[in-house]
Amino acid sequence: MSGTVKLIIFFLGVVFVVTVMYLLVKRKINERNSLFWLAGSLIILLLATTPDILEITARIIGVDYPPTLLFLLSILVILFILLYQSIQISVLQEKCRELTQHLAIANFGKKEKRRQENS
Amino acid sequence: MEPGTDCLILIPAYNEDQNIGRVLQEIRSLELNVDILVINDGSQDRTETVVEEAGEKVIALPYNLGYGGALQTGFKYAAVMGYDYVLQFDADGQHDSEDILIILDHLKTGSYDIVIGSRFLGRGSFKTGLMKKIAISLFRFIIKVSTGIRITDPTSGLQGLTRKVFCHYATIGNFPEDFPDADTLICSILSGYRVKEIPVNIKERYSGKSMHVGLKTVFYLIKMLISIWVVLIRKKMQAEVVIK
Repeated sequence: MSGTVKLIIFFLGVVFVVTVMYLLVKRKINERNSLFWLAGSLIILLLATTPDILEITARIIGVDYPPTLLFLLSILVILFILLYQSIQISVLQEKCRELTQHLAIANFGKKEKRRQENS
Repeated sequence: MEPGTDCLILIPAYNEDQNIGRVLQEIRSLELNVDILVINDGSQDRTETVVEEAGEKVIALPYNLGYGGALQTGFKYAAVMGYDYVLQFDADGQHDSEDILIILDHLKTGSYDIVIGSRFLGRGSFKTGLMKKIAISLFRFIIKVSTGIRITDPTSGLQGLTRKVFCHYATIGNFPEDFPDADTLICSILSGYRVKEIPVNIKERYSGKSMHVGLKTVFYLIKMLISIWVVLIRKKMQAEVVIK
């Protein structure tokens, strides 16, 4: 890996970490969800500074071309995060539906009470 | 809740201002001692106003929750208000209000927990598309194989439920958000609820379009098959836990 490529990857890693931290400060992401992305950014930084890790791991597993191992791991991590997000969305949808139903019934109760008071 | 009333007629409605007035009028013409509750499922038309003008109760959902979500809102209301029976009725004018009497009679015998009005058991002349016919036949077969009970119309929107059933449905996670179908029915039968099907008269819609048309039916079929599979696996796992 050339020095320039290393520098670009390192720069991207730093940008990623800073972005996640910025989102955390601005309350656009919560601590629990930020953990996955911070872990991802740290892996990018680690691979940029010590690319030997990838080559050694690829040799141990038996992968001929080390960058493919990187793609495989990246896709797996992204899939895992997507699945986690889907679970979160499903749970939130269920909770949102429950809240909406209770809110509608409460509003109806208030309306009925007002109607009875007026009549 | 009106004095002496133990039954709530539940009508989920989405953009049904052309039909709902006539439906309410038909039910009221029976002069039954029942309460009527319309769940306005985030309609963009005058559904809510029409119901209010007719002097009936209407719970307005702030956005469209879907048929199942609207029904579950009604179940929650019925559970809190202490009704003994809930009767689901469609807002599009397809159901014959006189069938309410027959369903209530069956429920009040105490022999059944769920009474389904079937459009395929004789009365009426209801036509369905080919895709829908295939889907219903498949669901019938799965219900028969998994529960041993023959149900001809698992998608019927005309159903009567006793308190224990609608209180169960009212609980979070116990009722599907979009459309209760064969999956809900299989789950109910395997939970020990007694189901009875009776012939009812299903008419053509007064106006508007049906919920299941075109390619949507195919997606719906696949989704329902997955849902049924999940219900069966869950029940099997519950049974294994009980045995252990």
